[in-house]
Amino acid sequence: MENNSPLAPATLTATRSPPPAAAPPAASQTGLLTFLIGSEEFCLPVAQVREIRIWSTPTPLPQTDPALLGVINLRGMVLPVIDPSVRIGLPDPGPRTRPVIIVIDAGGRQAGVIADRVMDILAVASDAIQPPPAIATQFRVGSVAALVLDKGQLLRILDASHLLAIRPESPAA
Amino acid sequence: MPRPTDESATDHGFANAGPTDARATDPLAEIRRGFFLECDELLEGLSDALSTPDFGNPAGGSLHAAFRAVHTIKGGAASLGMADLAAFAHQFENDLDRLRGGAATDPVPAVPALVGAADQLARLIDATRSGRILGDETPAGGPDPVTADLPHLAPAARGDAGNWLLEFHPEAGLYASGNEPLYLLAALEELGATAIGCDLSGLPDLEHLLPEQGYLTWTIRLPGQIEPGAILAVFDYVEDVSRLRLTRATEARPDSEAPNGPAAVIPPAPPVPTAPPPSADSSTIRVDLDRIDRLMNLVGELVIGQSMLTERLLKAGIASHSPAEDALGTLATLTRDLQEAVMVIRSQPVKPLFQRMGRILREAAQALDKPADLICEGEMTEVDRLIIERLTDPLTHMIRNAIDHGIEDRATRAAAGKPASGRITLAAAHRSGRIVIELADDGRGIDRVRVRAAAITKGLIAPDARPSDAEIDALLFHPGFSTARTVTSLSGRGVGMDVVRTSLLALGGRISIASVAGQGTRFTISLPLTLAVLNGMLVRARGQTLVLPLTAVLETAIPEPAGDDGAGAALMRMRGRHVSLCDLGASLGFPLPADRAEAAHPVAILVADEDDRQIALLVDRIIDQQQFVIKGLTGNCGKLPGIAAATILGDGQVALILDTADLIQHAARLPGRLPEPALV
Repeated sequence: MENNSPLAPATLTATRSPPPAAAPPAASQTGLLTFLIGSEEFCLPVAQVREIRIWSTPTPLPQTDPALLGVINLRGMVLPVIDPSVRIGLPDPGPRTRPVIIVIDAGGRQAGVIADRVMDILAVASDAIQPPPAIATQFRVGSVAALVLDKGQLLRILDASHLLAIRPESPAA
Repeated sequence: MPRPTDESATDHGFANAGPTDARATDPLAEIRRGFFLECDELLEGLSDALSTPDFGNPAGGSLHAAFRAVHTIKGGAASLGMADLAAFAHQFENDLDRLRGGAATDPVPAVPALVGAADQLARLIDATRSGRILGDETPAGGPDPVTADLPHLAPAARGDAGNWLLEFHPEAGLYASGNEPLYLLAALEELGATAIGCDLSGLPDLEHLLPEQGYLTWTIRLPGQIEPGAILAVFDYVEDVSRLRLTRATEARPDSEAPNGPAAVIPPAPPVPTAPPPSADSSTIRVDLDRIDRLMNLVGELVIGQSMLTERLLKAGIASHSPAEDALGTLATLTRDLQEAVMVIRSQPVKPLFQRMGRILREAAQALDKPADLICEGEMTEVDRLIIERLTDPLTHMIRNAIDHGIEDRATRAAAGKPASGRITLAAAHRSGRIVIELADDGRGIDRVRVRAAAITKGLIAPDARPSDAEIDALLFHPGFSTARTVTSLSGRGVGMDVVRTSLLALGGRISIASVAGQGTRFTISLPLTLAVLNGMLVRARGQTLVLPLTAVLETAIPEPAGDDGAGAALMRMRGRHVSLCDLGASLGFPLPADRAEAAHPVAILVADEDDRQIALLVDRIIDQQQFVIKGLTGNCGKLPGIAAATILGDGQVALILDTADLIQHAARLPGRLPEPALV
């Protein structure tokens, strides 16, 4: 199948995914980190995930993008922390119990993304990744980069650069 | 070892690559950058040598030092294909060489001309570095009269079809890899080599001779019309195991360096190393600034980690005066020392900057026909490299101003009984944790009557205002102010001092001015030692911890609201003036915390921006005054109103550093809240 996913294959190459032991040698695999935002499951390519940190309260920034919760200290670097539910257009999940911060790196820019729970790391065949349908979804345009069907379950791969973009569109009216 | 053909083919052809087509992908770009860095050091050495009093005495070391510096620049330029630079350096070298040989009758009068030639060399290097080769006009505009004094120092004509002079020194690796220099020489002969000579001066005594070593240097002359690429192509496989230098010899001059015939030159005396490596007498290394920044970050982290450790151990409870507490204290001291040591690495003496100013001064003095000398003091004062870089433009402006406006013309100076040559002093010193740079001239001083008249004409002050002398002097920094009667090519465009002040303020500096009519003007610049650390005041506002730069803080007081300004904004009386009282937490848009106990006893902090517009910021509490390591807020956060940067506190939390000028600007934009500018 032709791979015309908006995610370039280079960024999806499974450099850090577990070696495909039983898979046929020709098929390239992509590692995906799956996590919950509220009760919705999403994933990000493992290649874009640098680390997962326990929650620390960000220092709020004045008068800024509502998705930008503030900044935290990541070993001496000032790291912005983003609430993906605002960016994607999910309803307010309410108070979080034990959130984590997924540190992602998209095109050299780093940011933390809040998730309510980290689920799993999957290895999927790269050619099973498909572009999202062109018709409107319940999510903001551009927030989902690709879809992948894994063991009968449809996974949504988030677009890291969309998450990191500051004020990509005016807040929902 | 010979490399695969395809690989050597890619980096070959560098002789054709002029400085103008230096691309990021160019494998030579790194070498070129290194060469220019070396040039800076060499120019500094050259300038030092030329300024020694006994320069020109062949017995003294300074002439040799100058010769070596120019020689190294020539060699590097030639090997990198910078023909103009190499040709000029070659002629310069020959002039120095003649002095060295004692042939010139009296070398002393030649020194100013040599200084001019050194300036010209520096300009050529700058031009080559920026990819702009000097064309028909020199940057000073028109032919350089200093250089014209030494006719043979005029830049070589472009397209000079002088013959090629190739120096080829096979190293041990060449022999070890089974290459035969004879074949290479034969190939050159096929290309049309006219003369091949061998320099045996490197040969040791027979008993010390190691047969595997390379001692010989071959000098080959080739007709000028041969493509340099074709010559160097011969050495494709051996360029990493031999030293190659391709220069254009100028036909007009007898060349003492290269033997003219194929006969081997055997030196009569034991060989004396004439040109030791230029770095031999300097114990410095060049390190990428990025690496030092990384080191600084790590040490900053260590400081935070150390204070977190101390805080937590004390909280967990360790006995005071116990060995554990003692060890913690030692760790704290060591960490602080380490931080200071790393800061020092970033520092550099201001000497190269001052030398550059000497060049600017000579150019300006010449263009305006106002002879002037630059006296430098405290050249070894060290300051953050970044500050040195950013000081170049402001100081250039100020030096030109000093010549143009400060120093009088020859007739006026003579009438005032002053020496014909103006005297400009540039001094640097450390003072209470900052660096102070003073620029003083012995010129006419500020004409306050004219400054005041011009300010009234331009509407900067009211006609009936009676400003003090200091206030009149401060008008020079006002945007758009210039008293120059004619706009000269050097200064007088009315942007100079305003731009100077703005760029100094951006560095966290301040500038002040003092002037005595008829005796001169003195500018004093005060700068922080580093841009990486900031002295700040840690405050709390609406539950947030924030840092106020101490340079902006004037004083603190218990707020006593003195009515409002009629538009709802609170005012308070401080220092005899009414200033707007601005709730810091509210103006940054932070929500009110549930617990307001902290805000029971608020404090007002009077802050000022560069135009001395003042507002009082209302905060809940002042915590501390200390140094903060500045962390940039990455582009991911966008532009934040009122915030300049961030820092990491001892407990690992991020705190925001306030941009007071932006806060004041923001307050000024609100209707009815315009703070008064200082002078109107």
